Parts: sequence; C-alpha cells; structure tokens
Amino acid sequence: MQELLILCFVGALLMLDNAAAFQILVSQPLFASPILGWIGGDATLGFQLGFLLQLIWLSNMPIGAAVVPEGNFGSIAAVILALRLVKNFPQLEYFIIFVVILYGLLGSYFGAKTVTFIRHWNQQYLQRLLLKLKQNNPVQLGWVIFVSLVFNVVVVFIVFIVMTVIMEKGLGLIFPYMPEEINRIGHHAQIAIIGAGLGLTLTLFKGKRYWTLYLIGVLLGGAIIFYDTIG
Amino acid sequence: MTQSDKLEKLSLRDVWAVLWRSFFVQAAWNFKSMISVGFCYALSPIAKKVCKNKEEYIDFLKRHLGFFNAHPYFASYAIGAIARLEQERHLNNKANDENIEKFKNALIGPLGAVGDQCCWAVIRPASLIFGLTGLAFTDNLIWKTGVLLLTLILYNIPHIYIRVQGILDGYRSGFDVYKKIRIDNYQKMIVLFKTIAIIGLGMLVVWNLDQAIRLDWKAILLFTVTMFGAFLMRSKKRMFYTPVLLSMVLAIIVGVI
Repeated sequence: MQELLILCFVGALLMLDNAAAFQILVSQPLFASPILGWIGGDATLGFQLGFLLQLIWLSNMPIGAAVVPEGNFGSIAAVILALRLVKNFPQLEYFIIFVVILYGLLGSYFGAKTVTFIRHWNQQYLQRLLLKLKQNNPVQLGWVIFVSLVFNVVVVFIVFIVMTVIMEKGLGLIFPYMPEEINRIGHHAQIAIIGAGLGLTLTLFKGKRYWTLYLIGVLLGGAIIFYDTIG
Repeated sequence: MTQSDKLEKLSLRDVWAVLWRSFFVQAAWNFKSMISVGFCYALSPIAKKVCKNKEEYIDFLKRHLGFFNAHPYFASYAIGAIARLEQERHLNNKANDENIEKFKNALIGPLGAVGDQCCWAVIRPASLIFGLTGLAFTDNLIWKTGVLLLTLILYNIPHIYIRVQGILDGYRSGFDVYKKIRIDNYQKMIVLFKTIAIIGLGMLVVWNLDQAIRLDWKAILLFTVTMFGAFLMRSKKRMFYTPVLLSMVLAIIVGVI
C-alpha cells in the first residue's frame, strides 16, 4: 500500500508539469514512466512502457484552450498499474503491457475529465478572489498559485489511487487463470503499437520536401543495425 | 530628457523574479479568465515596484485578472511588454488602462499561434523523437538515462530561451513587441528541430522493421499495415483512437492465429 501511495503521489507531482507548472517535459511518458519505474523497482519496464506510450501520444497536440485527451495522465496511470501487476504476475508481463496500454487510452478520457474539474474549481476560486478585490482587500497571488497547485496534486492523486485499486482488484481476479501463451499477443502488440504510433507521428512531418531527410534517417538507422549485427 | 529615460531598467533580480513566476503561468488556469491569474502573478514583482499603495495594487489586480490567454512560453513576451507599459502608465500616462487592455487582447492570437506552431508542433515532438530514437538504439539503462537527460537539455534550451528572451524583448519593445512575435523569427530553430525529428523518425521505422523481422513474417505485415493504416486515418480523417485500437485488435488476431 505504501508503494502505491508513493507512486500515485509522484505521478500526481509529475502531472503538474503537464500544464500547471514548469512544462519542462517530465510529465511526458518518455520521462514519467522511467521515473516511476525507478521508484517502483522496475526501471526496465518503465523505459519500455515510456517508449510505447510516448509513441502513441506524440502526435496529439494541445491547441489553444482545447481540452484534449490527457495522454500524460493516462500514461502515468498505466505505468502505476503495470508496476503493480507485473510484480504479482511476472509470467504475464507482455500481456500486462498490452492491457495497460488499453487502460492508458481509457485513462486519458478520465484525465480530460479530471483536468476539466480542476479548471472549474479554479474558476470558482477566481470568483472568490474577485469578490475579495471588490471589497478592497488585497490578495496574495503566491498563496493563490500554491493553493491551486496543491488542489491539482490532491485531485490527481486521489483519481490515480481509485483507478489503480479498482483495476488491480478486478484484473487480480482474472489473471491467475490466464495461460502464459497469452504473452504472444503482447509481443505482437508492441510491434503494432509502434507501427500505429509511427504512422500517427509521420503525419506531423509529411511532404515531398522531407523525403531526403527520411532517407538519411533510414540509411543511418540501417547502418547502425548492420554494424550491431556484424559486431 | 525623454520620457523613456525615466523608465527604471529591469534588474537581474526583477528578471529572475518574473521568470520564476512565469513557470506557473497556467497554475490557476480556468475557463473564465484562462491564464490571467498566473499572468498577474508573473507581473506581481513589477506591480509591487510601481504601485505606490494598496489601492493601486488592488486596481492593478482588478485590471489584469479579467481575461488573458497565450501559449505558456510565449506569454513571456506579453509579461515583459505589460511590465514596461505598467511602468509607463505610472510614470507619465503614456500608456493608459484602455490601450493596455486593447494591446493585451491583440496579443492573444499571435502569441497562441506562434507558440503552438513553434513549440507544440515542432520543438516538443522533435525532442521526444530524439529521445525515442536514443532509447531504441541503446541497450543498457545508464545509456538510456543519459539519452533522457540529453533530451531534456535539447528541449529546455529553446524553452528557457523563449521565456527569457520574451521578457527582455517585451520589456524593450513595449507596444512594438508584436514585431518580435513572428514565426519567421524562429525559422532557424524550427528547421533544425524538424531535421532532428525527421531523421529520427526514419531511424525508428528501420529499427521497428528490424524488430518485426526478428519476430516473424506476420509481425512484418502487422507493422506495415498498422503504420500505413494509422498514417492514412490520421491524415484523411484526423482520427486518433481508432488507429490505435485497430492496431491492438490486429495484434490480438495475429497473436492468436
């Protein structure tokens, strides 16, 4: 339980970087997953999930004030669940990766709802500030920002815990009856996810003028793989 | 002595105070005033300097808590410019409440558009592709961690540069800051990051093809179908969930047969 609390708390802190503070990139799955992996005692799984989840969400851009599916939220929730499940069912690791990626997609929907809830709460907080100003009372903006950040962390922390406990209990009932052969799906799922992720990401940089650069990338990648193979 | 000579220059301490606060510009994001609370917070060190009493400070907060939105990094340009205009307003009334408000509203569009095009559409995906490529081509955890640190540096150099330059340029330019907020001014950076992204994507395609070849012929087929399928669905119909879910369904089918 203590480990779950720590993972959810760190996940909630990392989620601050998503929009509320800094935005230095650490909330992205590529960074958040290995960090949680290190804390949860399985850095390799963290790196592996970070890679897959990042590819899925790479093409998803926040434009203006639109609330988009919260890929970072879903990804952090997915990594926390994966760390818990793999510890209990190590024989199903590849299948668990497949399951948590689906769960991450679902989690992104709850993430968007959570962000909307926090933003509505901030709006009510703003109304109180404006009322205070109307009565000619000054407000401490540093305190306002601090309270908003704390509220953000608390809400996200609670949602992470609830989601993880429900899923862990639910899947814990099914997984003992799963045969190990089901991992085959997990192996192929990784190839399929990377394929889909690359396909989505390629749309960010499309056009004939980029073909030369793509060719350079393909040749460079091919050369490294060739060098590794003969080495 | 000209009017602008009377303007107090921003000290390093002021710039640092504003820069630090600008990292929290979206902390109290809400649907009514968007980023205005964070924007006010970033400006507060300047407000405390120019406002002579509590009433003036309250008036400052009332004026700036109304509505404002911008890309979080590029908001620094507005922060710098408004810092100057607030000083001018208190010194010589060169800037007044009405034109400061109009100016702020006029900046919302360009700051959002340039920020999205520059940071969200190019610098961020390019940095992440750099990181993904590094992870794909390295085996041990130490190297992988090193790649992540490099990625963090690669992304945050332009990020911090935009924030600092925004405050300084905004303060120097005042009303003329809109001349600085043009995508052309970031063209070199965009070209560099696009080059990194595209070469990285090419490398990732080859890497995953190699992984598929090592598995079996079905994996090669799966990779090809999911990549082209996702590309077409995203390009033509702006779909996101469907290609990912379809790829999972295909993985189940291929895994079972």
